[in-house]
Amino acid sequence: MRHSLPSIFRNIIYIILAVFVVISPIAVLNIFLSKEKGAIEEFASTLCRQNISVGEIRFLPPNNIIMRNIFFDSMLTFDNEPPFFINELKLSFSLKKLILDKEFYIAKITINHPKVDLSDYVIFNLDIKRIISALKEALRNKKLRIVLENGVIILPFPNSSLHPVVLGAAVDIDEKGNISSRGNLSFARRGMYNSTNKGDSGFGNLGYKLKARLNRESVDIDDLEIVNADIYTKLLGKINKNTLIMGGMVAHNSIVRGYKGSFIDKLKNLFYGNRYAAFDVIGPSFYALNIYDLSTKIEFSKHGMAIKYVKFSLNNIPFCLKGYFSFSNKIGIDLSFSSYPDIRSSMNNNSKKIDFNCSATYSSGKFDGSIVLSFFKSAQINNIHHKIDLKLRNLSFAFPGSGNVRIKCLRADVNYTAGDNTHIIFLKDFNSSCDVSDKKIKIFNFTSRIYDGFLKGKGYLDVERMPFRSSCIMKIGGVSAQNLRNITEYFDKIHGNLSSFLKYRNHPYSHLYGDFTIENGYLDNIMFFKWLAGFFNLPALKELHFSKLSGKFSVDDDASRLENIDLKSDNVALKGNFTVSADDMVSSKLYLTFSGKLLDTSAKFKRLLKLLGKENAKLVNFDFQLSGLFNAMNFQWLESDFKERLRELLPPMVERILERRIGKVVESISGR
Amino acid sequence: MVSYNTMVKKDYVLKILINIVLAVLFTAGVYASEDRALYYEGIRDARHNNIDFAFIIFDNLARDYPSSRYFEDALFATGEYRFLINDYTDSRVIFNKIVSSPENTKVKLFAYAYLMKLCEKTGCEHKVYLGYKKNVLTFKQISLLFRNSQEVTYTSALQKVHKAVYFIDKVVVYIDNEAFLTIHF
Repeated sequence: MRHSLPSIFRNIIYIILAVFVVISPIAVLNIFLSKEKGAIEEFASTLCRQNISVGEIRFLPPNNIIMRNIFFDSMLTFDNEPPFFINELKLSFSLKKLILDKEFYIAKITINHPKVDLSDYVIFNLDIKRIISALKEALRNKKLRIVLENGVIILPFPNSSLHPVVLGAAVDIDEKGNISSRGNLSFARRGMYNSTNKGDSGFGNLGYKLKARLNRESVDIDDLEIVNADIYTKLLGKINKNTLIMGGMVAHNSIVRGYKGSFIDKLKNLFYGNRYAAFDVIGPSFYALNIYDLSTKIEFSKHGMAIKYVKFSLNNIPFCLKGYFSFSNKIGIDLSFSSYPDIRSSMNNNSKKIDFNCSATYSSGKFDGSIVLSFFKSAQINNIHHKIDLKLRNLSFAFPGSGNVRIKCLRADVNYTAGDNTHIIFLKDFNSSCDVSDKKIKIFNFTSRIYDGFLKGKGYLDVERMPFRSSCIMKIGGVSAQNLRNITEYFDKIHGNLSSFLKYRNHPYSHLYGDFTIENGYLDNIMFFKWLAGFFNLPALKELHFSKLSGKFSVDDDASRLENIDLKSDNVALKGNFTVSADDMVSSKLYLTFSGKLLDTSAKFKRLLKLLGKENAKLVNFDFQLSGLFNAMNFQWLESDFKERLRELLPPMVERILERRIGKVVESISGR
Repeated sequence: MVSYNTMVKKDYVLKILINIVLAVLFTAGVYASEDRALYYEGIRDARHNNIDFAFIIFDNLARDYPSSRYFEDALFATGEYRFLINDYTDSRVIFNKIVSSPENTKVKLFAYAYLMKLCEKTGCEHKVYLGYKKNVLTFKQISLLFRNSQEVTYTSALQKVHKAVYFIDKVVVYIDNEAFLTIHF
């Protein structure tokens, strides 16, 4: 008993001493690291050209240095949330090297829960050249493994139920500077990075495999594969200083899978040669969607990223994308995308020539900018140049869930030019909702204010076939007809309250059709009525008031048609149709009826009617047919009882004089 | 006071100028009368139904006198002749040459009509055919108050009467009162 008490105390003392021996270096090290935290922050800030703040730094035995809460403190937003944040950075150094060679080097870096929030602007002011040089210098004949776990990229769509993008990756660099990396981006699932993941597992996943070499100031990319369920991309290139140059191809991935073959098949292949297919074609070929001859050059600077070019060939058509992303005060985008990039749009009649330009700034989840799209479309005689110019203010996207996309735009000015014709529409408070959950059919609906009225509609887009097929129905109401003069100049002289029901489809050909009604309006000095007013001395025709003007319209690539025209007013009725073809040729029949009350106001007409014995006529009909060029129309007064009586009355010489006079007047009238 | 020598020099220069002007006028007159004589010789042959000889004359006239006032008529006659003998290739070349000129003459109208007919016989691009058609249809703007049609008439150097009758919905081309082409708007 007397001997056990001192030995217990001795053991306790040994344990305390052992703990002290173990803990005190750790404590000393942690104190040292705390003191050096400022220097570490300064070093990292210099390397990244940003003020980096580290929350906590400590040593974790046996060979780890942990840094927590790392962020760029120059980028705090108004709610003090850092848009770039690393929860934990673990540096694992080689204990063996430290003890045996007295050399401190980091063998593994684990970045846990890095977060990038793109909801607000993020300035990545990285000096890639310096990072590559620093890495090369630091690694010199050493290995390094970098693991990124549970990285999160929050997309810039506020109020969205869209899962943030989850990123997992691993990078291995050997002594010779050879880099091998694998990673996975996931939209639908959160999960840990799995090193056996081949990057092609299911919806919303994008996997990559990289083989590269680290040089003094550059990185040679020997092989980069990016794969998801639909797309296979193979690239190689170089990052030199701050310039990325790459080339490769992109192919549709849904139709070819490797054929593993049974053991017997492989044995047979060995003896008899490759008689069994290495690949199994399992679906239709989307050859038209494959991209070949891809080459890119991108330059990074402290102000942004310049896409010098991204060139590729799609379906044997050359394309080029150029542009600039600016990350200074706001995110700025300036992109241009063209087919046949070496040919100027105005100089080419090629129906495959398209040009797309987008210039916008992005801030607080909204875009302001413009989009211009121009292309040629085949017509009867020539190809016609089309141009769509969109100016957008406060355009935003939201993803409330269940495959829905919402688009809002405070103001959209649409300027559409086809050949010599320009149509302008101003939309306000545009709202659209689109269901993109179905792979084939996307259903959308939209509402908007259009001038003093409203526009609403719904439709669908079939994306299974190329070109996409779309169809929609729209309703316009409460719009003053004259406000639409920018859409078509015919409305310049039409006043009244317009409502219209429209349908549009693009397959098998582009076709817009529907009906319209204009109520309680008037026709203001329309050239044809102006001439009638002068010729028959009927001033009421210059400003022709009506209770209702209605009709059906149809616009396609061949012609614009107005049918079932029906104008009702107290003194004049007009019916008929009017068609202008794509090559400006008119075909029309108009049936005009004047009331006796109107004719009574014209002394000339009263005399004429008396001569014809029709002084008590309640109605007089004038039927016309028009043809020829829109700007030089042919005109014929069709047969009627009135005309027959007039012809009997007039001597031939007077007929001829009248014909000549009418001919001169018709020539002086343009169609507008 | 002007000296004698100066006066003599002035007279001399004046005489030279007058001689130059006379020489030019005379030469022009000679040329003008040559092409005119050829043209009317061709007309005479055509009136006597010797259209082969008439063709040779008009062909020479078109080749040797491109600035002549009879050039377009002579050229049209050669194109017309080649059409009649079924030499459609050369006929097309000649009529295309006529329509490429900037003036809008009756000759051009009927050249377009022949070109449309050649398209129907030997084929051509649809867009080209539509272009010819539009040129015929829009050659004349008509207004028909009491009449039902208006006409454009041209008698070719081969003495064939070409007539285009414009209705409100179509144009009918006649050659010597036989319907040659009907074009609808």
